[in-house]
Amino acid sequence: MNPDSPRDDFYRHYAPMPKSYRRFLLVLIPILFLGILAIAAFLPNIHSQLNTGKIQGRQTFEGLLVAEPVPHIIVPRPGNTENGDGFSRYVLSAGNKAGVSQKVLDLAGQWVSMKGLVVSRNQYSMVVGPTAEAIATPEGVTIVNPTDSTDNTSPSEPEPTEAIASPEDVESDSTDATSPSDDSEPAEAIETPKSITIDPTAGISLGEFELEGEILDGKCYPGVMKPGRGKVHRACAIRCISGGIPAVFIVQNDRGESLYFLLEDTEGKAVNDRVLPLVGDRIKISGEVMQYDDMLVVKADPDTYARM
Amino acid sequence: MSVGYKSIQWTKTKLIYDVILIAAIALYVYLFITVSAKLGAEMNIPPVGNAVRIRAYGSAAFVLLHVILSIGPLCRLNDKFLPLLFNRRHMGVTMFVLASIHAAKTLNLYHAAGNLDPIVSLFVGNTEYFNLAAFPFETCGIVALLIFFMMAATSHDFWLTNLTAPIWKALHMGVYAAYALLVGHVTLGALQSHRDPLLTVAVGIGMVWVVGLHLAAALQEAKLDRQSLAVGDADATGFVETGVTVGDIVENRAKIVTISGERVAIFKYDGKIAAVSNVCQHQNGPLGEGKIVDGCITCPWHGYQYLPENGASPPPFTEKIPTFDVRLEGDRIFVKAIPHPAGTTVEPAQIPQSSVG
Amino acid sequence: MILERRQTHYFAAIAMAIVLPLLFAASLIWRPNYAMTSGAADELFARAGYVTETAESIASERIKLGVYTFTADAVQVSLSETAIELTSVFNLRIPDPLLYWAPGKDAPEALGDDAILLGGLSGRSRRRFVLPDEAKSGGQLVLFSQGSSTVIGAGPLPDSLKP
Repeated sequence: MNPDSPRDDFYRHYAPMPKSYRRFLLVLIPILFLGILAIAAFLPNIHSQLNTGKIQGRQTFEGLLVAEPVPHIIVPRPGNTENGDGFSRYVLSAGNKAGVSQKVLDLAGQWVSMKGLVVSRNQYSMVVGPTAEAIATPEGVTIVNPTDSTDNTSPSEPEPTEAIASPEDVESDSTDATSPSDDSEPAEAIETPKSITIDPTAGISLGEFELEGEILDGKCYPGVMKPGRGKVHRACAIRCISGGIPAVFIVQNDRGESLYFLLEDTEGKAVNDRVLPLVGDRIKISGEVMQYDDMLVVKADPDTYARM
Repeated sequence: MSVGYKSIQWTKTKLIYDVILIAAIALYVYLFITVSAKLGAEMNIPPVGNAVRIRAYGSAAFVLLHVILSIGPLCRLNDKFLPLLFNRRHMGVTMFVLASIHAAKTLNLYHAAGNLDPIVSLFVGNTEYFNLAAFPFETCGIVALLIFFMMAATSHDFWLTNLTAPIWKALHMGVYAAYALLVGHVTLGALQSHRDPLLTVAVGIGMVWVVGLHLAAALQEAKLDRQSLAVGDADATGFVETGVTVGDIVENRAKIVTISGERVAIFKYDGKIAAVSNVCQHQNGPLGEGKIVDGCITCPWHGYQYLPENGASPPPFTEKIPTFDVRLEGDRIFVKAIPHPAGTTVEPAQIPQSSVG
Repeated sequence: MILERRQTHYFAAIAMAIVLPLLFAASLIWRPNYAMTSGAADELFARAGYVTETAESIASERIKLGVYTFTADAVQVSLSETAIELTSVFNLRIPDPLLYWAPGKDAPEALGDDAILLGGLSGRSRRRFVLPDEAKSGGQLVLFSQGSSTVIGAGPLPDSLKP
C-alpha cells in the first residue's frame, strides 16, 4: 500500500493537516457550528419564558391599609360602582424576598397615601416596596372594622385613628355581612364628595370549594420573574413566602385563565410558614371561598392542603 | 513532549480550534437572548433578562457537554474526528465556565435577597428528596458542577503528569456521573415546567445520542478485549503467538493484540517488527492506532512520540513506555508475554527478505 | 486507555443506558399538569366575569379603546337579558384593567361619578358584562387602569351592542 494514500493519512495537531482530514472538517465544522446556532434560535421558542406579567412602574395610591389576612391596601374605584366591586385590593410586599416593611404595617387600619412599584399579571396586581404615610380620611369615607397588625388576637378590634371607627359589633362575621358596595348609598353616588363605607372584614361567602392549583409567591409570579411558577421557580417561591410575601393560590381552567386566591387559615391568619413544603406543587385545597371586593380568599386549615 | 510546564502550549490548530469554539458559544448566547427578546416583542410581552440569560448559559453548557461527550466515542469509531479530540480539554473548561455562570445567575435571582444565605437556601429550600416529581433538581446540578470544577481544576498537564494518566483518567471519568446528574437536573427541572413536547424530544434525542455512542464504542472495545491472549498460553521461552502475521500489518502502522487484558501494539517499519505497550504515557492514548512518523511511534491523540526500539521519547522529552521482545517464525509474530520496563532497548525482529512485500 | 479504565467506561455506558431512559420516562410520567380540568372552579370563573358557557351571539363588532383592540359580541344570555362579551386581541398588560360605561358622545379623559363600572378585564380572556339601561341611548365604553389611575382609551358603544 502506498503510505501517502489518503487511507494512511495521519493527523497531528502540530503538523500540517492531511487533505482527507481537511475535507472532512470542512464539512463537519460548519454543520456543527450551524447546528449549535440552530438550537440557539429554536430553544427560546419552546421555553415558557413569556407571560403577561409586567413591572408597571411606581404609582401613588390613597386607600385603607389592612394587615390581615395578608397586608394589602383597599383603593376605591372611581365612578358608580353599585353593580360591581367598589374597591380594588392590592397585596403588598417588600422589594426583596420579604413581606412589606414594619414601618408600613404600623399604619394598618389607617387611610394612607402609598407609593410603590406596581407589578401585575392579568387581573392581579401587587404593590412592591411601598412607602406610606397616614393622611386624613377623605370626607364622605366611613371606615368600619379597621384592622390592626399589632393586635394579632382580634384583627377586627377598632383602631383609634382619625378614621371614623365603626360603632357596629366588631365580632360580626364576614359571612353574613354584606359587601361594601351594598352598604354604599348609590343615590348619593353623584354627590361630591362621594359617600363610601369601607369594611375590610366584610366579605361574601361564595361557598365551599375543592380547588386544584398551585401555591406561589404573589410577587415573582406577576412579573418579576418568568415563568415565575412551576418547579423551576419553586425554590424562589419558597424563599419569598417564607420571607413574608403573601402566598397566592393559582387555579387555572382549561382555557388557560387563572383565578388568584389569597390563603388564610381558619383564624383568618396568613399561612406562609405552614405551606412551604407544598409551594410550586399541584395541590388541592378544600375550604370556604370568600370574596372581599375583587380579592378572593380561601379559608382552610393549611394542614388539610393535599398534594395531588 | 513536555520538559517544562507552560500554561498552554499553543499551536496554530489550537488557536483556530479555540476561536471557533468561543465564536460558536458567543453566537449561541447572543442568538438565544435575541430570539427570546424578539419573540417577546412580537407578543408585546418582553421576557425577564436575567431569567433568559440563566437559560441561555445553562442550555449552552448542556449542548456543549453533548458535543464534548460525543468526541471520544466518535474517535473510536472513525479517526477523522481526531482533530476535535486533542483540544477537548479547552471545551471542557469552557463548558465549566458556562455552567458556573448559569449557577451564579440562578443563585442570584432565585436565592439571594431572602431571609437565608443564598447557598443555604439552595440546599434547604426544597428537601423533597424522596418524591420524584418534587425532587430538588438543583442538587443534581450542583453536584455535577462540583465534578466539572474538579475536572477543570485538574485539567492541566501538570496534574496529568503528577497524578499519572490512569488516576487522572479515572478522575475525569466522573464526567459520566456528571452527565447522568445533568440529565436528572434537566428532566426533573426544566422539563417539569416547560412542557413543550419538542423540548422533551430534544433532550431525549441528546440522551439517546450520547448513551448510544458510548455504548457502541464500549461494545466495540469489549469485543477486542475478549480476544485476549492468556500468559498461560506462553511457550517455554515466554512467547505467545499473537495471531498476527507480518503481511497483516501496513508499513509504519501497527496491529493491536491483547495479552492478559493489556494491549500491545506491534509495529512494522523499515523491514522490522517491534512491539510496545499500546498505552501512551501522556493520556493513555492508543499508540497502536498511531503511525511511525520521522522514525517515531506517534500517538493519534496528542502526537506524543516514542522510538520503537526502546519506547522512549526522543530527547529532550522524557516519556517512556514498556517494550516487548518479538520473535518471528516465518510470517507469524510471537511476542513475549512479560514486558520490559518502560524505556528498555529491545532488538526489533528483522523481517526475512522473502517476507517483505 | 488501560483495561481497567476501558472496563469502567464499559460499565458506565451500560449503567447510563439503563438508568437514564428510566429517569427520563419517570420524570415524564410524574410530570405535574397545573391546568385544572375538574371544573370545580367554573362557578367562580363565571362569577368573576369569565365566559364559561358560550351564548348565542347576536351581533359582533371590533372596537378600539386606546391602543387596545377588542372583539365585542352582543349575546343573548337569557330570554330577557342581553350582555356584551369582550376579548382583547392582544394581552392587556395594564395594571388592574376595568371597563366602564360613561354617558356622552365624546371620549372622557377622566371618569366622573356618572361613569358606571361594568367589571374587570384580564389578559386576553373573554369577559361578559351587563350594560346598564342608560346605555340604550349610546354612550362610551371606557378602558380604565385602576392600578395607574388613568383612562387608557374610550370609544362609542356601537349601535348593535346597545342593550
